[in-house]
Amino acid sequence: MMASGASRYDFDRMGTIFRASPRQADVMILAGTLSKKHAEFARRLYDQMTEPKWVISMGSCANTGGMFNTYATVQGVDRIIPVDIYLPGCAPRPETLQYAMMMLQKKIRRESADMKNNTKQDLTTQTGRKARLI
Amino acid sequence: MRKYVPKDNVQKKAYYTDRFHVVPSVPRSKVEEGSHFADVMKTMGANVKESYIEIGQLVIHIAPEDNFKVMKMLKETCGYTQCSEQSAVDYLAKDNEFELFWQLLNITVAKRIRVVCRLANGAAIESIEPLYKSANFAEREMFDMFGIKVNNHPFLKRILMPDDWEGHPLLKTYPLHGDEFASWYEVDKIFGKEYRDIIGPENRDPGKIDIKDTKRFSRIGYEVPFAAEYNENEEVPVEYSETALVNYNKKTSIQLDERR
Repeated sequence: MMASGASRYDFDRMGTIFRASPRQADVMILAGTLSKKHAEFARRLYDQMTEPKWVISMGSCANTGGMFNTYATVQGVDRIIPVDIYLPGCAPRPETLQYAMMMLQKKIRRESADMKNNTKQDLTTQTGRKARLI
Repeated sequence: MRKYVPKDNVQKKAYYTDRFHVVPSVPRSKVEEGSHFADVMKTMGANVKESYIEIGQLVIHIAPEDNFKVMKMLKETCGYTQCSEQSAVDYLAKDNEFELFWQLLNITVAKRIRVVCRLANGAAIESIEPLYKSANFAEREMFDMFGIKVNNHPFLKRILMPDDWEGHPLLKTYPLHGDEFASWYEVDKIFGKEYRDIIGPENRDPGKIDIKDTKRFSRIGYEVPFAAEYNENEEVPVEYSETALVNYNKKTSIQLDERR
C-alpha cells in the first residue's frame, strides 16, 4: 500500500488519495492480519465511514486469516465487514492493489445512483447463507 | 542404505512414531573454580538448590518464595542489571507445576544467568518489578498467557489478549484454534450472540472447496453463471472446444507424418 501510494506506482493519478479520517473516506483497505482484539475497532472505523462506502480486503491474512490459523486471528475480515474486493497475494504486489482500485471504480460505475439497489450490505457467507450486516 | 518404509498415508501419520525416542539434551557442566560464576555462587550461598552451566550460561534453581531476595542479590551484588526475558513453561500435565524463568544479563562482564523456579499450580509469585522495570510487561504477559498471579505488581492486567478474554492461550490444554469462546469472540462482541447463526462458524480448513459454491470456484468442462443455484441433477456433458483444446480421442485433421 505504501508503494502504490508513492511515486513509482502513484495512486494520485487515479484520483485515489489517502485520508486521515474514516469520515472523509469512501474506501477502506484492510491491509493485513486482523486480530480478534482489534476486530471491534476495525468495525467501528467502518461504521464511522459515510455512505456510500466500499471495502477492499488486501492480502491472504485479511481474506481468510492466511497462515495465522490460530485462536487470536479473525478468519477473514468478511466475518465482520462486508467486503467488495478481495486481493490475493502474500503480500500483494502494488499492481494488484492498483488493479483492485480500477476494478472497484468499474464496479462503482455499474452501481445505480439510488442506494435501494445497493446489494453490498447483503453478505453471503462462505456457508452460502445470506447475512445482513447493518 | 536407509531402511524401506512404506510411504502410503505418510502425511496422516505423526512425525515421531518411535515411542522410545529421547530428545537430546544440552550438555551441562559444573561451575569452574575461580570463574565469575563461582563468585556468583558464593554470593548466592544456600539460596541455590541446583546449579550448572549450559552453553556458557549459569542456570540456578531456587525456591519460588526466594525470587525477590535472589534477584536483589544478583542485581546489587553481582551486577546483573538487566532482565531481558521472564516467562513460564507449562508442566501442569506432568507435575501440576509451572517452571518460571528469569534471564539476567551482566553487561560489565558479558555474562548471562538464568534463574529458574518451580511454582505450584494456583500459587502466586512475588513481582520483581521494583528491581527490573522490564519485568512489568513480562509479568503481565505471563499472567495473560498462563494465568500465573504476581503479587505486588503495579498494574496486573492482560497485555496481549483483550481484557474480557476467557482462558490463557499458552497453556498446553488450550486448543490452537481456540475454544468456543475464542471462535465466536468477535461476532459476540460486535453483533451479539444471535448473529452466530447468520455469520456461521469459522472456516479452519485452508483447502476447503465447496462444490455448491458457484461464486469462487469454476466448473471443469462447462460454465455456470456467477452465483447460480446449484442443481444436483443437472448433467452437463464435458465439451472440449476443437480450437482451444486438443481432443486426443479423435484423429487430428492434419496428419503430418504418414508413418504414424
